[in-house]
Amino acid sequence: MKSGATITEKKQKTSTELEGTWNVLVFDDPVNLMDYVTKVIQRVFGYPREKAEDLMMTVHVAGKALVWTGAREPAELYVQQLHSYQLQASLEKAR
Amino acid sequence: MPTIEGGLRIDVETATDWLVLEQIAPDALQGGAEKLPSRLGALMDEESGWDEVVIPELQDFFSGQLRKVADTVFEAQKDAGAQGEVPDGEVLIVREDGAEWYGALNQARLALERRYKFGPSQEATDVEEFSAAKRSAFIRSQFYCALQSVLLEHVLE
Repeated sequence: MKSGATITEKKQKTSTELEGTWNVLVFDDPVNLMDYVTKVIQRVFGYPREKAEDLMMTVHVAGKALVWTGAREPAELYVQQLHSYQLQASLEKAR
Repeated sequence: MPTIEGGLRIDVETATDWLVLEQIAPDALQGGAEKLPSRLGALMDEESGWDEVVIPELQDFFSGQLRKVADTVFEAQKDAGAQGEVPDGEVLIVREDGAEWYGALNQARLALERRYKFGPSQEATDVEEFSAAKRSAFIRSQFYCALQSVLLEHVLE
């Protein structure tokens, strides 16, 4: 009984942790070209060029930029797409 | 040279030109290209299942990019060799392959940067002080970057 309760508690805790809103972050690196980063952000998120350029400049200047916020599952898909374009990206729980 | 069909033609004039193009895939692989997906996913947590699902897919995807470039250069060399003793020839990057070429060149540059720590290219002003290997790698990295810029401007949508 104890082990069953522990497993249930762990599953609920994990499920709770994954709920809520998540941020997708893109990080700066010394290789990826700025125009390329802009194009990738446009392509992945469908943003207009101006917004994509602003986000790219934030990545370049601040070292990282928050590019999208939403549910966990689409956030993971976005990060996977960004990785396929060889951009350093991750997600974090939104506060 | 951009082509009317939306691709890119690289005119190869010397044996050194061929060597540089041949070096794209080895530069990526010697710098640990197979670990690139793991490095990109280093900040992802365990709940994402990144190691089991995403990383193997990305490894296949990135390997495919390097294979495409290596095969294209190899075939172009064969065609050039078939035309006589002079090593000049051309490598044609068709529009549909532009993204794969860009990705392969990026892998090579990421690997060279990781290995030699050039930093942003505009700050690499001490090239004369580099070792021979590092200088050669830097020149190749600059060439790959230039090729990426042309692909970005004329080929990639």
